[in-house]
Amino acid sequence: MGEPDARKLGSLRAAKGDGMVEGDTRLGEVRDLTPELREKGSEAIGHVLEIARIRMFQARFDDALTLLDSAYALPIYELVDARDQAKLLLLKAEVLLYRAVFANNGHDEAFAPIEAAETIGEEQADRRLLADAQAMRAWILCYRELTAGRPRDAVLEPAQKSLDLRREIGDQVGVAESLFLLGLAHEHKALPDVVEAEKLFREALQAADATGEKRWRSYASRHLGWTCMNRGDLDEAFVYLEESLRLRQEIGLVAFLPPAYHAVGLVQLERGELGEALAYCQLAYDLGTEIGMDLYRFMALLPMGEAHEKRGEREEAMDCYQEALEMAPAFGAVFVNEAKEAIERLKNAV
Amino acid sequence: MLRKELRVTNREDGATSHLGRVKDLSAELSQQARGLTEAVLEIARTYMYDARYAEALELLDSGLFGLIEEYISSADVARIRVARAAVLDRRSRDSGEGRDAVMDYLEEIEAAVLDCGDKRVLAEYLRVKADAVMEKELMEGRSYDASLDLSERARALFEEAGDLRGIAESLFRIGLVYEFRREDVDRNKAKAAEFYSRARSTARGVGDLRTQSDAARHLGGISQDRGDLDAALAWFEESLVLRERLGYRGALPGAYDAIAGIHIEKGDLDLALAYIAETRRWAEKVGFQRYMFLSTFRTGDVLKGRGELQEAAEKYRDALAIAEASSFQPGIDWANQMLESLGL
Repeated sequence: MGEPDARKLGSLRAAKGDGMVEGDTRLGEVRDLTPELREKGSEAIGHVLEIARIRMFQARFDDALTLLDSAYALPIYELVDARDQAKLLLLKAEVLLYRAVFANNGHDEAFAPIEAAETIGEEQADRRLLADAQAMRAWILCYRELTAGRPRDAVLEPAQKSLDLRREIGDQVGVAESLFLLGLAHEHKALPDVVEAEKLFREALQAADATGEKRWRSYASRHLGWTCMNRGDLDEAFVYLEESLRLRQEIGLVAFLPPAYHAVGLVQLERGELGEALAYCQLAYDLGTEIGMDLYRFMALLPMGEAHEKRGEREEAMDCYQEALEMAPAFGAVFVNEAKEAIERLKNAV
Repeated sequence: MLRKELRVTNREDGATSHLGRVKDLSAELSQQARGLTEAVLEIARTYMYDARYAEALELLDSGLFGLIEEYISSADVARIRVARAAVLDRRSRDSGEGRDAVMDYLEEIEAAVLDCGDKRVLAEYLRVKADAVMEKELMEGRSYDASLDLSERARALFEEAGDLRGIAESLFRIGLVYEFRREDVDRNKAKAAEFYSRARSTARGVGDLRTQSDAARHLGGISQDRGDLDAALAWFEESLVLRERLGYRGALPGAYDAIAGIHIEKGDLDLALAYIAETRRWAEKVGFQRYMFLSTFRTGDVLKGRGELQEAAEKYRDALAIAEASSFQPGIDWANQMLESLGL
C-alpha cells in the first residue's frame, strides 16, 4: 500500500489537546483559487482580444463584436484585472469605429466603451490605459469629422494628450501612433499645416521603425506618400504608397487594403502607368466589394474611368463614371459633382 | 460584370501579383482559438473542483465556443463537450439530482467523441462515463461490471497515448470498483489497495496532487476496514493536506468526514465532532448532499458513543431524511440499520 507522506497536519494533532469542539473554525488553510482563476481569466481574455483583433483586421466586425460581448458575459469577467476589462472596451471601441467607417455612419457609438475604459484608467491611475483611450478618442473624432466633411481640429487635443502620456511611460509603439494622429490633425485642420504634418509623419515613421512596428509605419508611409504626391514628386510618392500597401499585406490588415490599392492606383494614374492604375484600382474595387467597404469600391471607380478615358476606352470609362454617380450620394455632394463632371467631360470629348 | 471584364483585361499587369501576398491570419486565428480553449477548459476545471458547477457550466455553455468552433479541431470541440459532461456528472453526484440527464448527455456526445479520432479525448470520455455509470451502479445496488469495463478501456487508451495523469486517474477508478464490490470483499479490497497504490505513485510521478489525494483517501478507507486506524488516519491526513493545498473544495467534505470517522472509532469524540463540523460546513458551502447526510449520520454515531441514544436516534432520523431527499440509497440503508439497532 505504500506509506503516506509525512504528517503535515501537526496542528490537527496538537489541537486534540486544546479540546477542539463542534463549532471550532477552520482546521487548515484551504488554498484560495481566486489568483489562479484571475490569471487564467486574463489568459483567456488575451486570446479573445487577439481573435477579435484578427477578425477586425479581416473586416469581420460583427464577429469581433460578438466575441468581445461574449467575453463580458463570462463568469470570469468580474475576476479579471480591471486593465484586461479596459482592453476589451478599447478594442470594442476600435471595432465599432471601423464598422462605422465601413457603414459611413455610427461613429459616436464608439465613445461609450472609451468612456468606460477611461473611468477604469482613472480609477487605476493607469497612464497607459488613459493614453490608449485618448488615442482611440482621437481616431473616432478623426473619422467622424472626415465623414462629415469637417476639419479635424478636434483631433489635436486627444492626440497630443496621448502622445504626452506615451512619452512619459516610454510606450514607443504608442508614440508612433500618436505622432501619426497628430500629423493627421495638422494635415486636415481648418488651417492646415502640411509642413508640421509631414514632420510628424516622419517622426511617426522613425518611432515605428525603432520598434519594428508595421501598422503605424504603414499609416505614416501612406500619408507621406500623399504629401509627396501633392508636391508632384510621384516617384517618391509611389515608393511610400507601395510600402504602405506592402506593410498592410504583411500584417494581414485586409480591412484597410482597399485604400492602399486605391492610393497606388492613383499615383500610377498620375505617372501615366494606365494599365497598372487600372489593375490596382480594380483590386481596391474588388476587395472593397468583398469586404463591404463601399467607400473604396466607389473611390476606385473615378480613377478607373479616367484611366480608361486616357486609353481611349470611352465605353468602359462611361460605365465606371455611371456606377460612381449611382453610388456617390452616399458619400456626399462633392463626389456627386465629381462624377457628374467626369461624365460631362467624357460626353464633350470628341 | 464590368469589373470582371476589367480583371481579365488587366490580368497581365503587375498589380495582380499583389493578390496572394496578403498574410493569411487563419493559422494565427487557430492558434489563438486553441489557446482560448485551453484557458477556458482550465478555468472550467478549476470551477468544477471548487464545486462551482454553475459557473463552470456557464463558461462551457457560453457562446464563446460557438464563435471559435470553426477555428478549433473536432477533437477540441469534443474535449469541451466531455468537460461539460464531467461537470454535469460531478454536480449530479453532489446534489443527488440529474443523473439521467448526465447519461443522456454522454450518449448525445458519444458520436462526436468517436468521430474526432483522438484517443485521449475518447479515453477522457470513457473515464467520465465510467464515473457516471459507477454512480448509477452504486445507487441501484448493481455490480460494477460496466464501470470497470469503461475504466479499463479508458486506461488502455491513456496508456496508448502515454498520458500518465489519465492512467493514474483510471487506475484510481478501477480501484474504486474493487473497493465497492460486495462479493469476495477481502480479496477485492486487497486488489483495490493495489490499484490505489499504483494510482498514487503514478500521480506523484507527474505531480498530479488531485489523484494522489483521492488515492490516499481510499487507501485510508481500506486501512480503516482492516482495523489499522493509525495508518488510516495518516492516509486521510495526507489526502486532506493535499486537498487543502489544491483548493479542491469539492472533495474537502470527504476528507474531513474520513478523519471524523477515525476519531469516532478511536473514541476521540470531541475531536470527531470538530471534524464533523468541518464536514458539514464545507458540504453546505459546496452543496454536497451526501456529506450533509454523513455529517448528520456521524453526529448520531458520536451521540450513540456517548450513550445519548434518544439524541442519536434523532440525528439518524435527520440523516435518513437527507438521504431520502437526495435518493442516496446506501445512506437510507445505513440510517435505517442504525435506527433499527437502537431499537427505539
